Amino acid sequence: MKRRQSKRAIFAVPTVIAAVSLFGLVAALTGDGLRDMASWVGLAVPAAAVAWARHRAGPSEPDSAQRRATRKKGTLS
Amino acid sequence: MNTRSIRAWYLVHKWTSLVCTLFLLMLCVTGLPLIFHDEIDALTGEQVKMAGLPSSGEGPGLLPLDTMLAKALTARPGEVPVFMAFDNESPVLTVTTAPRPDSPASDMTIQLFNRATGTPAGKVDEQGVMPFLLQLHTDMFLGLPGMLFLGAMGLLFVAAIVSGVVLYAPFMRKLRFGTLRRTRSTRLKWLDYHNLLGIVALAWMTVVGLTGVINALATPIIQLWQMNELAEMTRAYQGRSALPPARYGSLDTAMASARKAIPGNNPQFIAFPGGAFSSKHHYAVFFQGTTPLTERALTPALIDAETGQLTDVRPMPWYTLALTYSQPLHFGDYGGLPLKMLWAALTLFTIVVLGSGLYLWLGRHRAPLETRVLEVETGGLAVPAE
Repeated sequence: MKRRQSKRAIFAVPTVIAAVSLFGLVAALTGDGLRDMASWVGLAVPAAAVAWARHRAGPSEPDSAQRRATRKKGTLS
Repeated sequence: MNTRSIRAWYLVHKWTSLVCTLFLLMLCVTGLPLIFHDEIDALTGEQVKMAGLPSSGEGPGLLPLDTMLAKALTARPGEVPVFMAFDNESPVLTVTTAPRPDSPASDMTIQLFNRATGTPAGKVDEQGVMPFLLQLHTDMFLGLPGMLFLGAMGLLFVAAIVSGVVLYAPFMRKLRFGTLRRTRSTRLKWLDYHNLLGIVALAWMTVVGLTGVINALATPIIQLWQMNELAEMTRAYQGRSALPPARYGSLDTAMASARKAIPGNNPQFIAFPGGAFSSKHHYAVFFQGTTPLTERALTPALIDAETGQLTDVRPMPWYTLALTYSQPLHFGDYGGLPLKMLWAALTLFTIVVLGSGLYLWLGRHRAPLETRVLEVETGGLAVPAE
């Protein structure tokens, strides 16, 4: 992405994550059962965002797949 | 944002973080097992789960409070009662005694009883690993100065979070949310992780940081309440000398007067005369609220410890309520095991944010300030030379 983003665009997703986390933090204070579950969902969002970012970024070593392929070839020959 | 203001915020972020990072790492590492202290205590402790009437109740099936107190004092001859605490789920009742009414917490002894049978119900482990971690986490074995010091570190942590959010804007100007460049260089990888984990855990870190600061102020907050509201509630007793323990009257009479003043609520604990939570002449019976949200908002009924008559009832002020609600919001123990596991995950995120921040600083702290500011401005593309 080469285009400069506005502050609003930069903070759009972080604001939603913060709001959902705060909702989760308060939900379990107000009761048990469903409200506890709401808090789990709310506070799972930050962890889910990291998992999504890692998934999107692909393998951490770009050549690992290639290396695996070469190794396989090596054992075959 | 121009380069000059980025530079200023960079310096704020650098210095607030540098001062608090090692203490925050200690707090995260000790806090991690403390999240699960109930589960760990259940695995290792002698405390047995018991079924039966809740000890905060009243009526047949539960022994009188005077009987329970007498049992506790027989086990600790020469000591005076400091607290008696109740449970809403089981008949377990705890009695705290100490050599003097105003003894420090380290001199207090906690005994557990079954209020249905009157038998002892296990001990509170005060020597094991968990109490050690708790003490390290609370005051680093330095008492009140240690607590206040860690509170100050918490404030710096919050300042580091705020300045970090400000720097997030220029850094991400040309990057999509969630960018992780893991293949170009180790530095860029950790720079991206630092920004991503910091921004997703922002709300949680701020809440746990601020509630930690409020918890660190527990002693002055309670002292303020004693000086203001409690002093007003017990104005008629001002100037009288402390009531000697030999003249303490019946706890059951006192509890009956207190229940009449706040009908329908469960008592959470009784503070005895001379301690931090009462006057020198009163049993302070602290009642819980009646809904899940207000359950933690306590209302004390001040009962003349000699006569058992009500002196005054008044809800706690806003600043002690802030302390009360800061406890669950800091400990994460109010929404079952899944919430605790998320709490642990977010603590791990915080450890990575702290560790990567330290790594990023150590790697290039000799580079000129301008080039480090340029790194923030370009989203990590202009890498400062060593």
